[in-house]
Amino acid sequence: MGCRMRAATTGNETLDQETFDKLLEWLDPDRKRAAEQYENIRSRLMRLFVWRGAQSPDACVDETIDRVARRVAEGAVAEMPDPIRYFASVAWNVCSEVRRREQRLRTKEPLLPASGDGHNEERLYHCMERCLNQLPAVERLLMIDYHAGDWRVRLARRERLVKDLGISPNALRLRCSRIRSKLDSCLEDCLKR
Amino acid sequence: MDTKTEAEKERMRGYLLGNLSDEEKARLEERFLGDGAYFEQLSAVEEELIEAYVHRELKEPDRKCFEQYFMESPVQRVRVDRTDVFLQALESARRQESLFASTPPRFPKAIHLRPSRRALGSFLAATALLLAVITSWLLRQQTRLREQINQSQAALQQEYQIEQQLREQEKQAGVQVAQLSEQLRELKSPQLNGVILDAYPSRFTRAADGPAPNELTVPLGGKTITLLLHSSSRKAYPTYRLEIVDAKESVIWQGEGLVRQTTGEYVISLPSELLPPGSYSLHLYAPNHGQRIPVERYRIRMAMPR
Repeated sequence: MGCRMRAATTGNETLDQETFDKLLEWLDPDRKRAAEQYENIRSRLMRLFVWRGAQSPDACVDETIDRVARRVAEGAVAEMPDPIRYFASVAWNVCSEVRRREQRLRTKEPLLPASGDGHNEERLYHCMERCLNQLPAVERLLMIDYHAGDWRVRLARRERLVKDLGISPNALRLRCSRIRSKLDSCLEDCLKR
Repeated sequence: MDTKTEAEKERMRGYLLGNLSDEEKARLEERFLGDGAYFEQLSAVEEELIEAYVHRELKEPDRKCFEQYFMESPVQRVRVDRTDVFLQALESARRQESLFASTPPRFPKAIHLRPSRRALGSFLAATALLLAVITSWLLRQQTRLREQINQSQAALQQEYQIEQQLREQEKQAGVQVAQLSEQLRELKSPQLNGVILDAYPSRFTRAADGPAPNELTVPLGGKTITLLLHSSSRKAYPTYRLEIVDAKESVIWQGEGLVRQTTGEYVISLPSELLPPGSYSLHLYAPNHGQRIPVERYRIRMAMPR
């Protein structure tokens, strides 16, 4: 899925301040809560487009927010009771549009492997090790216990972790997922250097 | 995990692998856009899915869906690559942590890093071997020390006995020294109440009309007796030998070096204790080329002191 590319970094640079303010106000009258909700929607939209297979998920997110903000500024969605539902429906449309475009392009642009050359892999590994070492010892050991080994070993360890920590398997999965997210952020920073 | 959660997890897997209908997809997307907890759970399921793929644990048709649908986005392909690196780094970290498996638990609750079974087996075998060696060494040391202790105790016992003997000897020597000192002192001191006995040869006393047998009474406290042994012998020798024999014919004293006085007597001083009351014979000989020549014989009788 390939959305049209924009010069998007933090997103929605084509939106003027007034339109953006109206969007925030529509999300929540409280400016602070509105900003938090906007960030949440943006990050989740990003995952949505990734899971939908978008080739440029950033651009798709911008496109979705752009469309919603304009409709809000126009007063077209003032009575929409649930902003999330509206974002979801617009995202769905964006996805459908770009998928059609993409299918036309796919025959011309072969998919390239994502992994880079040996140097990049080495750098990636170095950064990963560095980020792992930066984790607090408890979290690093939890990652090791949770992820290392084959599935039988992992299963046994996870059962033991659930018992030792006194939490549900789901809570354990979420705890590890949060640590992984932290690790991913660290990795992004390391790779940018 | 309960049935509801398991079913939700399966639905999430279906969404990520592209197996849900459009309606189901829309419903699920709407939910995770508005529900942070649900989104977190979906992210966790996604991580598990990637991990299973990297470990080559995904079975068909999931593996095919994963490659064709899930990895369609380059972002996902990067995530898969990074997960691969992440797991390699974790495996490396796990091996390093295994080296320090003896360190105490570091989780709030007990979460232990277990070494592999093989490593554990090797460790136990090495520990058993080490214990066997240490035990053997300790037993040898114990035996050796016991022998040393026994030897030391025997040597100590011997030394103690020698010391006791030496002390006894020292004590006896002390007594002897005291006696000798006393005797020496007495000898150096003037002798009081000494008596002098003129003794005549037996041939004169045997005669019925001869002088009475030589009888002597030593007063109480008298310690020395001086005998004047008269002689009628005409032949003179340079020195003489004297033997004192008691009634049982036992020689109680003998000595050489006696010389005849110019007046014709032989003079000898004896401790009175040498001659307790009783009869004695004094034999005077003249040594001559390894033989002794009888010269005179005296008989004396010591009376009870008064």
